[in-house]
Amino acid sequence: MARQQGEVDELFDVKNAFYIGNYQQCINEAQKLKPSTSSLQVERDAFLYRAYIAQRKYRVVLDEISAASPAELQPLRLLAEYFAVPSKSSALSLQIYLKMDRVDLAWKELKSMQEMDDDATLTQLATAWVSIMMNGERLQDGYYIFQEMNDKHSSTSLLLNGQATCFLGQGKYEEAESSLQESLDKDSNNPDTLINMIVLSQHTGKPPEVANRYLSQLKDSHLDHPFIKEYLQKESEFDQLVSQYAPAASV
Amino acid sequence: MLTKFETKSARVKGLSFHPKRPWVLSSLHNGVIQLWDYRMCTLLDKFDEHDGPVRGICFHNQQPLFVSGGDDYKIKVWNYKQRRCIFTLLGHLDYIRTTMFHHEYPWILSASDDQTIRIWNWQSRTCICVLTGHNHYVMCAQFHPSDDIVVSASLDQTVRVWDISGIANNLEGLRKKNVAPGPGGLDEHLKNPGATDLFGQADAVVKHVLEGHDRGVNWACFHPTLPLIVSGADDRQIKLWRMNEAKAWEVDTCRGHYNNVSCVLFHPRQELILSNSEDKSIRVWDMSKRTCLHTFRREHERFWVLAAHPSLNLFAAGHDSGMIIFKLERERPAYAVHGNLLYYVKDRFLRKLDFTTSKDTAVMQLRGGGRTPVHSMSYNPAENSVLLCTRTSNVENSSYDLYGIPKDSDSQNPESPESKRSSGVTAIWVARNRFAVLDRTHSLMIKNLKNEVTKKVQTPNCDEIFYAGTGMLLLRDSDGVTLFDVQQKRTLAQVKIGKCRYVVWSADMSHVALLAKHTVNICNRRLESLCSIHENTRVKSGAWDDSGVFIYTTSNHIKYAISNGDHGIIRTLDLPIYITRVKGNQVFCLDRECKPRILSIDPTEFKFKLALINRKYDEVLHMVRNARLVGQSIIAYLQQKGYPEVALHFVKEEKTRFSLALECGNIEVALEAARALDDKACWERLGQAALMQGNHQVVEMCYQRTKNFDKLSFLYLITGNLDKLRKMMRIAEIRKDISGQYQGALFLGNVSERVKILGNCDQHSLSYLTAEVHGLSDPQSTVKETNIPPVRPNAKLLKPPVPVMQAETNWPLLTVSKGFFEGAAMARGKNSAVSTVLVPNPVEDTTPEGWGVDAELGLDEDGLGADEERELGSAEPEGGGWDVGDEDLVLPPELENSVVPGADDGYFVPPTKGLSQLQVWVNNSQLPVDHILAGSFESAFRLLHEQVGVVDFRPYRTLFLSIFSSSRTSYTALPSLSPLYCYPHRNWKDAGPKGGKPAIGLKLADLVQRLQVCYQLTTGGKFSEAIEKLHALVLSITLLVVETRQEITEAQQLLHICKEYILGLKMETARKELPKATLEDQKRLCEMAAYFTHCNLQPVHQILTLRTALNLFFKLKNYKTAASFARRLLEQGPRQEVAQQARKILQACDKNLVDEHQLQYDEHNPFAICGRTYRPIYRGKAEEKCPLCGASYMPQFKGTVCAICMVAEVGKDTVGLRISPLQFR
Repeated sequence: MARQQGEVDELFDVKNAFYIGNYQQCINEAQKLKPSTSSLQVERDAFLYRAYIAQRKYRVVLDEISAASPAELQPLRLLAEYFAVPSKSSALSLQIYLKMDRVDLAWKELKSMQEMDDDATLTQLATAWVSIMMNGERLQDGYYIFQEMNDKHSSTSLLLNGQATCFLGQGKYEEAESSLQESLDKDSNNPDTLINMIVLSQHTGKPPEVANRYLSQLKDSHLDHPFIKEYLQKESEFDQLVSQYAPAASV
Repeated sequence: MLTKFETKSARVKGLSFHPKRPWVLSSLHNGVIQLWDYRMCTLLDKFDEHDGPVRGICFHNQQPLFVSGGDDYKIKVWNYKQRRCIFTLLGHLDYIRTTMFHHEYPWILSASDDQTIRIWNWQSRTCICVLTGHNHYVMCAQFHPSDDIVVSASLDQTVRVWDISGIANNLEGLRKKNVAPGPGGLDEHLKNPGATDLFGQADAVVKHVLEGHDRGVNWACFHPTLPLIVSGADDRQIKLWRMNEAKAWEVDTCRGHYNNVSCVLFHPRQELILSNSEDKSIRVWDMSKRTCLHTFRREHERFWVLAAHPSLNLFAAGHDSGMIIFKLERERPAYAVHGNLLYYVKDRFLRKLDFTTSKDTAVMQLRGGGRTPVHSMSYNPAENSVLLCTRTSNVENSSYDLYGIPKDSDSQNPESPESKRSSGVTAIWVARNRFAVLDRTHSLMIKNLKNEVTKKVQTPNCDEIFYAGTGMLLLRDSDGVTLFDVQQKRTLAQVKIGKCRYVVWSADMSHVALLAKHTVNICNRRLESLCSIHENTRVKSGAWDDSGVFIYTTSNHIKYAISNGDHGIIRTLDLPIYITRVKGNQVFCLDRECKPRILSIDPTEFKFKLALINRKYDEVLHMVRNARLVGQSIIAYLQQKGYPEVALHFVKEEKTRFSLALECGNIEVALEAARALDDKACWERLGQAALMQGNHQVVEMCYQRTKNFDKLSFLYLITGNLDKLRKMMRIAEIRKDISGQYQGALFLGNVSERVKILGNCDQHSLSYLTAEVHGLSDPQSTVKETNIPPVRPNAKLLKPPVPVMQAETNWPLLTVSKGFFEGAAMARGKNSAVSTVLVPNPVEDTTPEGWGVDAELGLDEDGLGADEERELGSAEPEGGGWDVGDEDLVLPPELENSVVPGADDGYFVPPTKGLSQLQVWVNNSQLPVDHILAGSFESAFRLLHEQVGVVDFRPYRTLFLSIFSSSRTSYTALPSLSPLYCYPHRNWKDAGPKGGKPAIGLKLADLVQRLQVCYQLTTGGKFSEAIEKLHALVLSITLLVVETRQEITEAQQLLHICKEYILGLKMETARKELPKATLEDQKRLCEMAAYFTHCNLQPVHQILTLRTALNLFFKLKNYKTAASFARRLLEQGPRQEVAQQARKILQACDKNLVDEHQLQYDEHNPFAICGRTYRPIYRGKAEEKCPLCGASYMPQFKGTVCAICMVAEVGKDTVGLRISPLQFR
């Protein structure tokens, strides 16, 4: 065991839990862990705070990171400050490329990630994201990646939604339903789950009330979610367009 | 060579396999014949009647007989059932070398050192022929398996082939005459001894003499099917001979043995020759190339004899100190199970079996013609690929092949795809696109789908790897199995098990069964051993059933193992099988011929045990009542496993019942049993048990039954039952038990009684004293004695405390819900008491632990704080290097990447935005719904406006928004960032980056379903609701996407139906709101009812409209029109009553066929109904139509919004409904 110690990533569980979206697990692991070197300790703290940020517990981060904290943690304070006051958006390059519909660039980015470490959790996830965007046969690859993560670690809403996205893309509605139901059981307010449920209910011919229920729930809990924003914007766009048309005569 | 069994004994000179049972006979140099069960590895019997070495031995292929021949010149025929020699054949004049049964005739063939070969009839027990010609010892003689010829080998250096058809013909002739063949034949012959002699000594003639060996020949035998003979001789050579009717000649010689060849034979099914020799080796030769393939050597033992099993791939060889049973190659098929599919290798094909449909197909042909058998297989469902590992006798030369299974393959002539082959002992998938390879140096590599090494992994020692889920492997070394995380390179868990051979995971990967040669070890996911089962025979295979029971096979049984360690036999097996899957009471397996089979098993026993373990008592009870489970073993099992209350249920025998009831504390049942038994010991035991539970009523009864007066008194004392205690005192008096009586008086505080008792037994001083102390100084009762000291002045009265209350009822017990079986068991008894007996559960006091944890936590935190400080301190000096040391910075790789170009170029140009899928959708389609899904409401408006003339979009609002909301699925990529959207395509398989069209939620079939709902609403008279739904339907139709012309037509029909219904229902609703006061009003009402009958409705609705119209017109006395309505109504075939009514009205109308009022209704002139005024527009008159729903309007309504669909502009010139890409071609 001692021989292997050098290669083992002490923070493995912490990182892993973070990337697959199991933030509480990440926090628990980080608090349990006693890193062997000080640099690892800082790294651990970084993940700890990122997990808190991901849980929207900005206050914890703002209170704990002071000016006296290690310089490496300062950006996280900034990040928390920035999230605490929701405003403009920023993202990491691959995700940005995907957001910009530049799958080609995202693909390039992914290739370089794969060259560094193809088996890393993050690389695998990134592969799945790109696969989903590439659509077609690749959806199945995406599914397998999420399934593998589910098998290997524990299932999370993030992974289940990824899976459901693949299923919905392939028109496999029954399978999507079971993934989404599981996700709903885990976190009934996850916006991704709610959005995907809306899609699912429409494609499975459920009465419109079902989809509306999810939509209301989404509006209720995530009014600032881009999906809702867009939805509301479309509503007003519709109303405005209506006024542009009128019959030639009235009764 | 795979050795299956070995024995130690004196030199083995003869061997014979039983054709059906797993038995082998070995005849020894010391005169003993041994019968072994090679599967159970036991000696079944010994036959010791020969004097000196026994060389000839042979089982009969049908009768329970065997024949032996020895150096005592005797041939003995034995019955192994009766375990004795049934007769002896005498005639040979020297050692007998071999004895063989004929496969069909009642003959024995013997070869002897007296230079003769003899044929004996074992039914008549006579020698029927002597074959002379050899001029030295005859070492061996054998019948041909089908022809009437014999081959013999002799030390005269020749092999001879004899024609015995003459004798055979005699026998056939004889049989036809009087002897029925078969088992009865023996008796028949016993009655007619010497029957064969009727024909005298028949002749056998030498057919061929094979000369070629330079020394004496030890063995010769026929090929089972070809005209070939193989012989082995003291010249150390093996010769292969061929023969035909006329002659026989030498084909070739196999050289290699370096001492006398003692025995040689053909492999019964393969092109192989096996030989053994005094050079201590067994050799396997290729029959066609005559080259030596394998040599198996022993250290010290010379080999003397070989035998082949007639149907199995088994051989036996006898040597100086025993025998070995062996096979040449593994017979385990390579297979892998995934879901309902079984992949397995048979011959040179990979086959796929679907368990659900039993469809078995060859999916591909393997490289190399399947010459070397595949050792193991690993299947990857994601890539539909297999890894096939081939292992040679020299493990270092093993290799594996990576195949992609062809997608669709012709089962008759499957493809033979290329494979990627590399050397390696084992290859197993560890992820979707990764597999692990254990190479011959036992180091582990991870490879990708291109068979390139991506990683080398340092592992603890291991010589075999097994699957353990994604990213995990089980590593085996000689004494244990290790669970290893390949990604983290970390050992997670270990378990000790000697040389694990196979690993079977449960479907949910929560349990694993590790199979070693003679052990089954069941572990959980963390490799914590749950149980270990030892088997006497070999463990072969296994699978988990759905309830978590492990079903496995040994050489001769199917067995089960429950993870608590319970195991047992389910059924026996004739031949080993390899379980692939277990479902309900079916076991799917492969046999040694690689044939998929399904065996059914009785799962009752393990289901029962499982139900017990899981405390599903209702299930248990059900099984107890319905299955044939009862037996001593199951009761013993239940008792041993701590389920006496369940066992109680099985038992009828009172004694067992009594002790079981006591064991589970069921006093009622025990009492019942004790009454039946009425045995002193029982009552005592019951009393003890009842006392423990405070059930003093039963205790009392027990003491009474056993006449235990002392205990009974004490019981009455402590329960405060003074009456009974007094009675006990009286009884003691009657019994003249003074001590008992005194004790009773003492307990009761009855001083005068005590004084009396003491007085009665001449203890006068004590009596006096007692009286004095208690102040009873009745001179009559006391005797004053002079020397009695005065009573102490401070003496206290000892009086027993008065009972507060008499305890009449038993001790109160906690009300506990009755265990399932206690209830069930008591229900068997008559009206038993209700109280249930259970010891109260001690409440665990968890507080101290809780405190302990807290305290520890505090300490821990302190410690952590200290650590932190120290580490921070030590980190300080490194602080200077921080700015450059960015390798410590934890940033996701892609962020680093995006930073890199910036650093290189000096500045960063953001890439331009790409083509979004939404835009793609808009580009690819002219269908409104596609534009809605793409969020392009503006163009969707325009399209609807152009295609169907929509001008009022308000009714579309919810439809638009709900369709739009279903266009994207959402998933989170990096935490805390806004989610990514995926856009499901309806043509996702071949969309490509720019060819996508959105997936549609709305289906024509769903709309048709919704129409049915509208029909029902209409039938139910809920018109407003129906109109609302129909209207929504109309709007939905405009947002359909269909693929075929047929569907377009159907959609248009649907639209038409909707229009007719909306029009009709709206008109009917309007009619009902009209005034009815004046005649004009009445006329208008009738007109509208009449128009309604012209809407194109379903017959059931048409009937309703006609009935309304009929009634109204009849009331209006427009009999002529009413009659026509009645006729139309009857044409629709209404219900019986309705039809009768209509006929009556028709009759009435026909009497007076005139209309009293003039109405605007001409039934014979076809018309459309204006959607707004509900007045007829007769054919040929000017009309305007709605471009969407096709409703008709009077010309003045042109340009208004249609009243039916409420969205389109009447009379607008448009292209029409567009719902399919077909309409744009």
